[in-house]
Amino acid sequence: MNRSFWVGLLLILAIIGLFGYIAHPTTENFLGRNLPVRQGLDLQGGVRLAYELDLSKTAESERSNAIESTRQVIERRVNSTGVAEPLIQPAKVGTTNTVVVELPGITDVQQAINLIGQTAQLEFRELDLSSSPDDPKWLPTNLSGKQLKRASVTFDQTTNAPQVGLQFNDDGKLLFGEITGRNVGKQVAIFLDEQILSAPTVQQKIDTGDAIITGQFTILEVKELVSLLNAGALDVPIKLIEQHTVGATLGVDSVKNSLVAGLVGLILVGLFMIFNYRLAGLIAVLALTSYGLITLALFKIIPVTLTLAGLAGFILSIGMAVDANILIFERLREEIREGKGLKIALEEAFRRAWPSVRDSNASTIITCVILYYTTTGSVRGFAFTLALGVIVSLFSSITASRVFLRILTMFKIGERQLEKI
Amino acid sequence: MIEPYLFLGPRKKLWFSISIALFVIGLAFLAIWKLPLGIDFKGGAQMDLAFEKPVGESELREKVAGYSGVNGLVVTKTDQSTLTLRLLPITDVQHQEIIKKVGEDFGQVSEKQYQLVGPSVSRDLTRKAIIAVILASIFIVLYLAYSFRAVTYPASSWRFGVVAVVALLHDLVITVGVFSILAHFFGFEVDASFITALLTLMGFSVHDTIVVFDRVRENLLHHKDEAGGFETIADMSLSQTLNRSIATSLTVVFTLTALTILGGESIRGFVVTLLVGIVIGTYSSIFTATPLLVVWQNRVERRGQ
Repeated sequence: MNRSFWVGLLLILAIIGLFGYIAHPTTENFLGRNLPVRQGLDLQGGVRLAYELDLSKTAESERSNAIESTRQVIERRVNSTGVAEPLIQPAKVGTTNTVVVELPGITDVQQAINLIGQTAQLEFRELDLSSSPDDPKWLPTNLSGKQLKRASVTFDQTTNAPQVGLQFNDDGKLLFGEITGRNVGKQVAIFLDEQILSAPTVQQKIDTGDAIITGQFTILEVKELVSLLNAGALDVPIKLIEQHTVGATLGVDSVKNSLVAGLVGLILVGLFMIFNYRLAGLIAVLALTSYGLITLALFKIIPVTLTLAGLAGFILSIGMAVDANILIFERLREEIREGKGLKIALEEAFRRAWPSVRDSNASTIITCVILYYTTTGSVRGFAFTLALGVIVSLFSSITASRVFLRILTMFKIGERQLEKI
Repeated sequence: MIEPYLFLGPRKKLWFSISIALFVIGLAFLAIWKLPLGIDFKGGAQMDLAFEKPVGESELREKVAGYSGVNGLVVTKTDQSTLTLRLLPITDVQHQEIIKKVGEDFGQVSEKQYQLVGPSVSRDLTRKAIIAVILASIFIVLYLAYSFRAVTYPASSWRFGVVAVVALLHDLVITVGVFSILAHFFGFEVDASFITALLTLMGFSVHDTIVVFDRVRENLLHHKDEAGGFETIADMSLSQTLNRSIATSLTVVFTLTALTILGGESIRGFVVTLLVGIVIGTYSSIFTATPLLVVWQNRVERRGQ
């Protein structure tokens, strides 16, 4: 054996060792990066909401901007609830534009729906002096939530009642100064989503750009209002069209059972390979183990969100990884039966099995690439894990097993056992 | 000496008969029992309710049908104390209202699962998946035509790709047919994961067919001048790859059987679909795809003479 062989072996062992370390469940970060195992909603339990965006009043050229800003506003609102790892992504369904929100492990669905669904349109309005005091009418001004820089929770200095403090940006500062200037001694109303929050009487012109909303608020209401205002207003109206709750117990239960089942299945595969191909079968188990470790590590590094469909892709790729080994071993058997020496038979087996491994896996990768770019959601996840698995399986069942088998041929006992295939 | 055919020759007719019979039976049951579409495809609301005390289906149906906003109600019993309500889409307020009223009428109740689905999401995914499958089929034909280009005589390399895709369609149709039978007896429903299962089968079916074809290709190049022609070489290739076909299928069948028996309830329909499809996919690589290739070749040769 030449030097490049040993360098190759060291490289392979290093790769397997490194990925094995990363794949280990207790490894939570590597080189300063966090390595979570992400579970999709169908595995972990939680809520999936889909909102339809009403873009009918939005100009064609503004639509993609409107979708993105809506997504951002929803994201900020969701983040204010403290849900871990929410997923918020726009998706086009037929001709309708939707935003899909996935909230793993969430308990109070109703609160999340309420919070996301608010439009949070803040407006300042002036009193229409021609209307009667019993039925006041309000005239819109240019000042709205758009000029808001920041909202915060404050407390009245004398009564200690919670209130909402507003701070405007430079534009807002000017506008607010103008509005308060021309309304001294009169009421100015603050509206949220067409509902009046408070209508204080202006004492003097305010140039600092600070305003306060007072009212009969509880501390909780003030906090919610503040987070809504800080998240900003939705650009377009949204409507809840889909709600999917996966009970955590349902998810956890089926994941646990399925993992055990998957493990039992893999052990059966391993036993079958050893029973059928003897020592070579053991090498296949070794290759499969390294395949599993590398794939799991990649799931953590990328990171891949594991869903049911993703697991299906993974299982299929295991099948294909085993198939490559089976192809080679069947070939090895034939070559040995033809009377070739083990070392030559081994090289021949790899050489001749390669075209079928290449073509079958290439066609799978072609399918995955097309699926990935033309579909969405679960099918996309499936295509991704399958392609990843197929690529890793080429390394484990061709490169790694070949080196392992070559090492065995260096020993008399290994050679004798391999010949019994 | 020409050895008697193991798989091909006169036996081709038998394999084709089996395939056609399965195909027709599958389509027939599909036409009779249809595919029971789950909420993913039909749209609507579905509530899984767990009651403290046992509640009868008809009792619940009668009461709930009278609530405001409830249309198209179907009630099914899952087990002693769990019932599923299906109805046309409702608003969030109506949903809360229904739970409250059910609680008032039937005592302690908890909602295990709630789904509200617009039918468009899964339909859209199906549409995209079908387009993807058609595109992928075209590319597979092109790839195989290129990869098998060394085989220009006697069989044109195009035929390998076309037959692989025909075998794929064969597998998918039969699997869907078997699913409609299983669904009828075990209450499986077509949900979004059904599409994933069919795509998985597509991957397996093509993969498996290509491995067999590859052996045909290799033998064609090495035994060009042997007597017996294409059919003999194809038959030899099948014998040579039989062990591998069975071994590979068995490994997948092991994993899937374990998942069927031990795995979670929620993935059972999915796993059984895969199991059925893998068996059919393996069958078709040996008994449908290669015989089809031979029949096509024989036709071309006869026309040539």
